[in-house]
Amino acid sequence: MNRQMDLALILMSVGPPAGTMSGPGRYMTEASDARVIKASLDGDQNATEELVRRYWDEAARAAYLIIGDKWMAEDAAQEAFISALGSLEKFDPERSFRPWLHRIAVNKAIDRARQIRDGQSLVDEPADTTELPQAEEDPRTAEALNALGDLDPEDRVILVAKYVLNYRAVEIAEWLGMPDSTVRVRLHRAAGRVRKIVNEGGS
Amino acid sequence: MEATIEEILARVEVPDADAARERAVVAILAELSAEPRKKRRRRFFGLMLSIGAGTAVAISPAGQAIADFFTGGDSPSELSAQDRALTDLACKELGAAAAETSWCAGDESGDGASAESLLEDRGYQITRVGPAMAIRSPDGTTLVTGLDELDPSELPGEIGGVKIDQTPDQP
Repeated sequence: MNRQMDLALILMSVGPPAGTMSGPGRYMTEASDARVIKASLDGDQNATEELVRRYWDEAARAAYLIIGDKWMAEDAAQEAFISALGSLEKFDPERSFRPWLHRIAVNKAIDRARQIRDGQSLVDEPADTTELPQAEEDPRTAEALNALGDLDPEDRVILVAKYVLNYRAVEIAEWLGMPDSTVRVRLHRAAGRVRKIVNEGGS
Repeated sequence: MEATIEEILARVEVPDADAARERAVVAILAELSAEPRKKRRRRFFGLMLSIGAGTAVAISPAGQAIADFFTGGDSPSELSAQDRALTDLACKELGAAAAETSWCAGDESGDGASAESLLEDRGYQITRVGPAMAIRSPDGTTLVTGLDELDPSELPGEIGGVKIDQTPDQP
């Protein structure tokens, strides 16, 4: 049996809920992470692709909010997926894939954000970023990113992990290696600072 | 009424999110299947793919793809079905039907010559320094590749107008 067939059978065996749309995309969303991961570990590239599609938007958005630069965020998110999917055999199938991936993505993003803060050159950074075609940025996006940019990278991670990825303070604390009480305090202060900047139109 | 932190963060829109996702799918799958020595060549402003020995596909930030079969690499006919599919996808993103584009799928020579000619015909400027190469596209973006095949002491200061100030990651 070929690998594509393997995944197709796994996905079809789950099937769409009654009354919902059908089609490959729908079947894909219904297969559990554990089954897709198993297929990926068995060498099924369709399953690997499914994991990327399933979690890309969330991870890329988090990286963008933490780093504040579209291209670097895209790179960081790609690196996170490559790192996570390249070491799937180390993943404990009893645990959830999402926080495992997000922890890696957040670490990649925070490394980039720190490098930017410290003025370090980035290996994958283009020599002349002025040549990059820049997407038109929504004014409210720019406003929020500017406010986030006023925070330490760790505080950005805390905000994003809490309010975008919906993790608890104790989980965020574990990621960052700090007491959860510290996370709560920093969360409160960082949120207040961003609100102040945005709502009052300046720092 | 003042915005909450949740509202402020929810306002952020990732530019070109759909295109980024598609680039990521291709890049990640290619990177995971690349040979170790060919990894870390994603220097096309974050996206340089290696597919098979000596074969590369690059996708520009704007989603434009170019494919090149570098000297000494596999000929397209030697690519695995998986690599071929990735290459075809990149070529289709360029707007070309792979089967109708000689340098995407029909170039059996494997020497990269037709790819280079076609790119130059389309306004790309190609600069070579030993095994390294810079390809400047008409829109001004530049692809640099092959730096990892140079001895670090031989790294050029610049190639094709792109300053090279660091040793690329070694696999």
